[in-house]
Amino acid sequence: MSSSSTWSFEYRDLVLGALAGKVSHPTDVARSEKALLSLNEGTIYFPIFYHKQEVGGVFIGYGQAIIDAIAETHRGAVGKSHNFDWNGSLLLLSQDGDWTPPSTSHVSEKELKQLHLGSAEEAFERAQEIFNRFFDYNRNWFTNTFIQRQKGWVATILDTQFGKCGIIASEDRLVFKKGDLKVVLSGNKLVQTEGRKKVFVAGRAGKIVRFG
Amino acid sequence: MSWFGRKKDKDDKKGLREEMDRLEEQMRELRERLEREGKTAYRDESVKSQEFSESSRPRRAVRVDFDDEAFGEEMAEFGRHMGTAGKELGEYIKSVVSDAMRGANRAMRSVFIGPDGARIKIDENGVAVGKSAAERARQVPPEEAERLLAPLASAERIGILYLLAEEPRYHQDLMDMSGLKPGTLPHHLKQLEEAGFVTQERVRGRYLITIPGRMALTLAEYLYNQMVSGVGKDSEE
Repeated sequence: MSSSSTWSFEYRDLVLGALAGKVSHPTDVARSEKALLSLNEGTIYFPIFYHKQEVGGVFIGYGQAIIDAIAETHRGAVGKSHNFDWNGSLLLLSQDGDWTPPSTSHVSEKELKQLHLGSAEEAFERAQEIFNRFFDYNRNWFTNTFIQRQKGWVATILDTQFGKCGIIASEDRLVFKKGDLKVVLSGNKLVQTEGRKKVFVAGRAGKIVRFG
Repeated sequence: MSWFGRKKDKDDKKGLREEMDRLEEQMRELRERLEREGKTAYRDESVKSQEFSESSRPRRAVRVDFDDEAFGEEMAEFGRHMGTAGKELGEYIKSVVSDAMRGANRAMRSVFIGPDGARIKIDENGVAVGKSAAERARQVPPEEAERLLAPLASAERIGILYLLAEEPRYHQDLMDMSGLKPGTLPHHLKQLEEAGFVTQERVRGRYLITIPGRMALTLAEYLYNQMVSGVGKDSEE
């Protein structure tokens, strides 16, 4: 894949690959200035191809996410860091053009059963469902917005406990949604909402507006 | 309009035209006379336009006969005069500023803004005056005040806040710059984080000073400056 700045892809050309194996050791799979996604050992990996090139993957298993929703204003830092474990699935697409797949090893049926998956076929069906669901819901956004970006990555986590979580990270910019919490961060500007009541806006000069 | 009315209108226009011609003739003569005397007259267009903004206001240019020697003596005299006047002016400004600062100092000592935003009067000895004011002052939960002020009771922690006020820093940078030992620095950073004065980016690991952290530094500076300026000494006297 070319790392040129004009590179981008369309969802129609993305294909889910067959089971590649299990992640052989804890891995930081995506990183930006403000967000980090890690995978635990044993998480299974299905690559996503764009014209036969790996650009991301669907992961079923366990991992961690660190989101630094902190803006640096002239009057001091605003916001906080969110750190949570996830248990379920992760779909990740990299726009950087330098995606490095995690190292994997053979996964046994026993290990699949630990992930509540009966067989490799069932695991693939589950991954395909996650893949389709992502593009069913996000097709327009993905086509119109994400592919316009030159750098960064997008991730959706489907957790058994807290449900859905979305992250878009590109250099010092971040969009993060988990439950009621929504964060849009760009350098020293932060907009954060928690439910309908709490709205928090911080500007470059450190002027903060709070509602609710 | 009647024939008579039309004729009157025609006569008026003719009279105005003649008047304008006469004025233009006078202006031409005036311009020629000024040029003969070595002065520059306004340009006609500038006068006519009457655009009275500063940039387009027409300006008079007058030729000045410059005498270096006389000018030098004048400036020397002016300088001597300004030397004396400047000293007097300086003394005057000093007295005015001094009065103003004494007044401000008294005002700052006599009024304290309470946690609820209420103005609490303070007497000469720094005691809240009036029952309601004293009661309001007691509304500050002592435990909360301790929690906020305790992290400031350490030279190391204030030093760390100053380092972070310059720019966000990594743990190693803080250790190098503060000279604190590897076992001591995390202890101080933890206390500052718990107080909400410092936050850490978990991805990059940098430490940043928060808005309350900057306010805490300002508070420390304010107290220090007040003590140095003699507020505490005054009450002792």
